[in-house]
Amino acid sequence: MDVRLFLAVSIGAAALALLTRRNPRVTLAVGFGGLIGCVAAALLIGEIAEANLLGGRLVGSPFLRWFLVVGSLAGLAACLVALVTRWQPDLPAATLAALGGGALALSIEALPIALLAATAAGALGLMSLATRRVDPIDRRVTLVYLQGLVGAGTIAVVAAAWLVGPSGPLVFDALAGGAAALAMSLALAIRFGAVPFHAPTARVVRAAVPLGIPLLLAWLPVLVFLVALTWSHRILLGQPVDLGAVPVLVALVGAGSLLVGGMGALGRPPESDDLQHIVSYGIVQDAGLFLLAFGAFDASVWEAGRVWSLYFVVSKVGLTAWMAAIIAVRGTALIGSLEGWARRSPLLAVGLLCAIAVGLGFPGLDSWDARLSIIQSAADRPLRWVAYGGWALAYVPFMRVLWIGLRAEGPPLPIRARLRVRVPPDRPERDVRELARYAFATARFSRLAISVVLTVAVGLGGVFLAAGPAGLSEAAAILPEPVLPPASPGP
Amino acid sequence: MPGLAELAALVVCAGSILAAAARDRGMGILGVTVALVAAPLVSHQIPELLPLAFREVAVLTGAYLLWIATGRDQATELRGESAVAGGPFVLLGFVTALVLAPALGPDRGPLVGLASAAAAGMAALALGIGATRLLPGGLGAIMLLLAASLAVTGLAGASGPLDHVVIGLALLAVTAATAFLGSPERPPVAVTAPAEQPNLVHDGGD
Repeated sequence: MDVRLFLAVSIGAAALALLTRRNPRVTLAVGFGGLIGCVAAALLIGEIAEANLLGGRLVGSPFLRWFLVVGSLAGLAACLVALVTRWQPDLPAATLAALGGGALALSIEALPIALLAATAAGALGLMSLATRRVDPIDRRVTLVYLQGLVGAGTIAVVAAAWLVGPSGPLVFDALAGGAAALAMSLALAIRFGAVPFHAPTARVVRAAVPLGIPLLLAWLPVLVFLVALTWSHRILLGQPVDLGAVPVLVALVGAGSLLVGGMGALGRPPESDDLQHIVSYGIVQDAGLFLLAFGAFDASVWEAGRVWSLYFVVSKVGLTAWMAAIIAVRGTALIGSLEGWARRSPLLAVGLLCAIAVGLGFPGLDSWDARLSIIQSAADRPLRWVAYGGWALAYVPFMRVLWIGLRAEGPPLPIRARLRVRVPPDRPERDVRELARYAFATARFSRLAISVVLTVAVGLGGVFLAAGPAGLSEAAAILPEPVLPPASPGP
Repeated sequence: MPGLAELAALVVCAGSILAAAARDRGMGILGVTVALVAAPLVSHQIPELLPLAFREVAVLTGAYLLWIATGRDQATELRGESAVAGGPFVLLGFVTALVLAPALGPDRGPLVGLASAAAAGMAALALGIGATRLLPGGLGAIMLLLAASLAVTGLAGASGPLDHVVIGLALLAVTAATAFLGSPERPPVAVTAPAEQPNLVHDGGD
């Protein structure tokens, strides 16, 4: 089987889910059925299967298979947690469209077109931002985000096409290569929300439902990063051209984002000291890490950058699942009001620790090694210490939240949330339809308990991935062959 | 076919001028649609029928979705009276790109591809800069993506069938996203799909 099966399932289910939007039950069933189908289709993809689609080549790879399997599972988990915490009816359709766009972007051989596919996927992900109420602030946030993603996509597409002609890659000099590299880095900085482009990221975190955040701010930008990384190794580094100050400049912005993102979540006034700020500045930090990985322009970070991109997506699903569960249980996201949360909900504390392990890493885990490898390979000595400082600062807000959660002081909850399975009072008849209704009602009454269990499950799944399962590193380490230009004059 | 690419580029430029200079949503959407429909023909080789048909149907579908989604909004004005007229800048961009494009070297796509890209890009700037409402901002985003696709044609040469399909899907995605987000009403959510419940503590608590 090749990637066309995955494309058919994901895009077909997304289209069907959108067409049936007026019937919430049908669109719910189609959405979840499609996500389960995506997991199955991703598992069936042959590791190096190639396919021809309308005269264009779709290239499979072991890493593509890993990425689609992990992405499909993460998308399914996010939708399940959203279903029991804070639901957005178009989230499954947006996730399916993003998965389809991602599969297309990562398998198309023509890199400028792949970047267009990644931009299209980003636009479709915006469906998860649509709200039922007409809110001018939300509309403005959405507009700025749309303009940012299309602007970044345009810059990336032009940068990728600049070094290519009708007969293949062109012979280019340091100026052309450096300009293209800088433009691609700028596109990544905008897309990920690195400093100074971080403001829309923070606003989207507030406007989106919690489980829409991993889709919009993790999965979709990572597509652009992976295609850009492939471009840099196939086209840019295929010729021995000195890129001058570009790597240093990109490393400077990357390390700066790591540091500023780490500082941004600290010392906030009480009215804005909430979980959304921790999540948004964490994403700003990770944007810095992606810039470091891309800006190294060296094969030594190829494997670490690709492996890290998986951990980034999974960690954001785990973190936002935890945030959604906390808000559902406690009714607030303000950190000052979360006294004793870990003592009352120790399973949620486990979920948070797992998200930290996957996202920031602990020594011994593959996520830790990947981050360390990126920083060591990409930044020279002064910048390296700036990056280390930012990385260390990232643990502080989480440790603070855990510390507050373990405290015994604090006002009691207005209503005590019992995190256990609760069943409807009336027993069902022995009938399939009645049993199904009983199951749905049980799930509805037990939403809090289910949200906590799902959060822990997502966290433990992420830790399993961060432990470095067999095959992932080998799959990520396969370098693409550089494409060399034919003997022809260049720009 | 000699001359078809040049003619298509002129139509793209005309559509971009119309979109950039439009004051109401009808003219704005019409201008964008004209540019989108003519863009696949800006190439040294005519696209195959099926991918061309797919791309045209995709952009027309997106334009239609945009038209009906924004039709429920009471405001029909696209930009205020004080907004800068973008038409002359679009034409200036087109001509400038046509003059400067040969400097990129001989191994490139059609010159009119880059000129069309410049025209679409200037229209995107005219629509998007300072836009506070979703429709002009969204139209700007659509024109920017069109500019990117035309730049690929102008720099890297003719697009293949798969490329046209992907470009059509990308333009449809951005147009549909703008239409989707611009729609003022949302369908009601049934009981079995949990509605927004930011505080589940109060649901079934003891």
